[in-house]
Amino acid sequence: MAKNSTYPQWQIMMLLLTFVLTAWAVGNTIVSPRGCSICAVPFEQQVSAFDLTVSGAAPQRIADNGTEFHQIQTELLLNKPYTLSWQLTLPHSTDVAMEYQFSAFAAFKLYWDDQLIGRSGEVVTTEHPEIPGPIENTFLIDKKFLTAGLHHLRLEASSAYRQQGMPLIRHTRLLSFGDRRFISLGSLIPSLLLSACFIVGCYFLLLYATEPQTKAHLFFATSCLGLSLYGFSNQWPFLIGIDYHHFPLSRTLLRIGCFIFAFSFALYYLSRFTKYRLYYSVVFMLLVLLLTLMSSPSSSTIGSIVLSLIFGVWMLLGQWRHKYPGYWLELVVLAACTFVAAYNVADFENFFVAFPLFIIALLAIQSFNIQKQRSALQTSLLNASTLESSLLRKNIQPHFILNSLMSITQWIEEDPKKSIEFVESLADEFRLFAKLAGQKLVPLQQDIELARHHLNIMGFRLEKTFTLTIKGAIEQDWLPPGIIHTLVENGVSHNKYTEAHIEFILERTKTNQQVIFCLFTPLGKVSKRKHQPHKRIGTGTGSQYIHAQLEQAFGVHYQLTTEQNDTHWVTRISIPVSAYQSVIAGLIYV
Amino acid sequence: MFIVMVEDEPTIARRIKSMVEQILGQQITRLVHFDELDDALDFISDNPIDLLLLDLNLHGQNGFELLKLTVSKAFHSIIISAYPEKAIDAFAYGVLDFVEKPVKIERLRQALDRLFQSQRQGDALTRFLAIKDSNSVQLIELGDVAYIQGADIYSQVVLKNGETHLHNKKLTVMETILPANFIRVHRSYIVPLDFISRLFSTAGMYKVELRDAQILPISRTKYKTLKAQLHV
Repeated sequence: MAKNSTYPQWQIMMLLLTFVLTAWAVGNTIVSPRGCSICAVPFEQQVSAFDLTVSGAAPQRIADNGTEFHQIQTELLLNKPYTLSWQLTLPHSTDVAMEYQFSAFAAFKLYWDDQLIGRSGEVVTTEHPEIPGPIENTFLIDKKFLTAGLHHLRLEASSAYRQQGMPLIRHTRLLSFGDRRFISLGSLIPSLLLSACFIVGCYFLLLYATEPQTKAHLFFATSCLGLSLYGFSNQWPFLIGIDYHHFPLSRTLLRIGCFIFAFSFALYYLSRFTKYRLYYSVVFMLLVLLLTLMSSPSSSTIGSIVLSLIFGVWMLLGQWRHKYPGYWLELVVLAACTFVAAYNVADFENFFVAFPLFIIALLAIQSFNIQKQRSALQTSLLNASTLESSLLRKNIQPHFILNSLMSITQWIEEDPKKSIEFVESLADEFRLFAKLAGQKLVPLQQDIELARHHLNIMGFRLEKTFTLTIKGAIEQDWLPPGIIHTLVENGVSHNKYTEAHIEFILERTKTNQQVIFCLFTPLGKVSKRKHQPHKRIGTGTGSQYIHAQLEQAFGVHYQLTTEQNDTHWVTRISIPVSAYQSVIAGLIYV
Repeated sequence: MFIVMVEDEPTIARRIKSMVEQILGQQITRLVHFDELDDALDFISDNPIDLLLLDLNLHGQNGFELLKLTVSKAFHSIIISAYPEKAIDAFAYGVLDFVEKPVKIERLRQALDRLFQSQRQGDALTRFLAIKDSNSVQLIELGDVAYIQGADIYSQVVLKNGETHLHNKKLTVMETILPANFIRVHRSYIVPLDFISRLFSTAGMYKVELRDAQILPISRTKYKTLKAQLHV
């Protein structure tokens, strides 16, 4: 098929793309600097230490953490108004306006050289309580304030809702408000990929809804939705803004999203590659581990994502001996994802670039498989209809009818009564045939009845007595129509019997694991020449029919074997008890 | 006439037997029935039979192996079968006729009549000659045949590449199963029409020259008809 031949080409392209992106991700930071959703060149500046004055007390000096973002951590609980002042040296003046990005956990007013340049929420006063403001703020500073030299900054603030562990100032940055008519691509990537994850999640959820037996779809859907929740919580302050007292909520959502992803991603691989009952314990351990990690700071939650990615890679490696189409693509892309995620846990946005690539790879593999499934389905539908007609045709085959008619012409002359009996037998067989053809399963007794009709007819024609003896209880058994009939028919047409009485035996046994139907076909006269006494099961159209019928009813859960002993051909059909019973139960109750 | 019939269904065998008896009557010297080919072939190799009435379930290769074996023998074979779709194959191997089941007596009569016709009506579909060596049967394409020479109760098949093979059928029997373009030019020779390059006479003897420059004798009566056929 054309599809098959083009498939590996784009698979290779996907792999290349993955390598390139991984290399890029490792070499650089793809996404804009952490915490900043807008890309622009930061203005060179020198910032002095911060002086913190809580109302009434003496100023206290706090050093910033030394990163380029001027983060301030303090253990002080600041439920009273306070003032934070620092100095900023600009090396030169500027002829464009600038923006001051200011991220703080406070309600505040911000002054630049005693000029109010921005406010966030309402600082607590004696009259009214604090109204918390958003965490992320950007204030425009006119170029007339931006002279070279020293500038004084003052923050009048209160942080009544601040909790233990929250920084006082998350970051401050002075950026030139230059040529920024468009949002840069880098800043868009996280939100674009979030949306992609969300949409793909919904898509797989719909797939699951239409095909509830494919649990893997559900788990992949929840992985994607979990990841988009995680991503959203992470980007919340920049996407739609969040008041700082709601920050813990976003952290909780982040952990939940992270947990959902890690857990369902593990389940996704479990449900694909294992009978996951066996692996419940593993999943449970993973769950416990994840829950433990949940209670730790955010970088550890990322650790649980990495853990579940590694788990996925491990599961994929377990399929080493059972490679399926697209195996390499999936393995390499997932491994790359895992590498990107694990390589720089602090810069986790890179993972958000890599993971959609994995989603695309999965979708590609899936679309390929869907195409294959569809053609398989068409083939099986075609087979089913061919089978039905072949079952009908098998006994209405021209040679069968023509030979029968020729026999009748003789009996009409020599024994009219016999010709009537024969015609009635033919009618009986055809009637039963018409009734059974096209059904998926029929009571075994009816198939036996059909086989006996056939033996009766052949007995007439060959002037012998054919019998079919049943051993074992078959009253509750069901099989696809025409199985026993076909086997008996093969036996009669491919053996040259010299005895007057020929006995076929059908033996039904049951072990703990298997239901076994065993047909004993007596061996005919052995030919002196190459001419075989009996066609082997596995070559003729008869056995094709049997295989196709059993496969349609029981899938892969059956075995058909033939062997020859001194007196008989032994055809054995074994079906696992569980599969057999569930198929019959499905037939009866559905 | 010594006839062997192979038919595995007793009722049908009785039917065919009664028909054959009705058609040939006193001409039958012996009619033996077998219900399988194995025994029949054993019998055939020991007895000089004239006709084989064969029900051959021609499914699979084995059917054709057996068919090759029977058509390599000296006698004529008529296939009586419920597989009409196999008729063309059977003819290709050189059977005299193929009668479909259920057998109509008129159709069987027509087939048996062919036994007595000195020449085939020209609708033979034979494509191969089955040659039996010491232990195997090989098929020769008629297109490879240069000419066939009668040799007592056998025929000598001479191929265009110079090989010669003995066939068990007499030239007269051979003639009936060969297609119309094979001409009996002489009491002892059958030549494919398209392999003749020219006709000539020397010293009152008529001759035919083949495309490989071999020269064979030709009968006076055949000379005229052949000349007309070749437009020379």
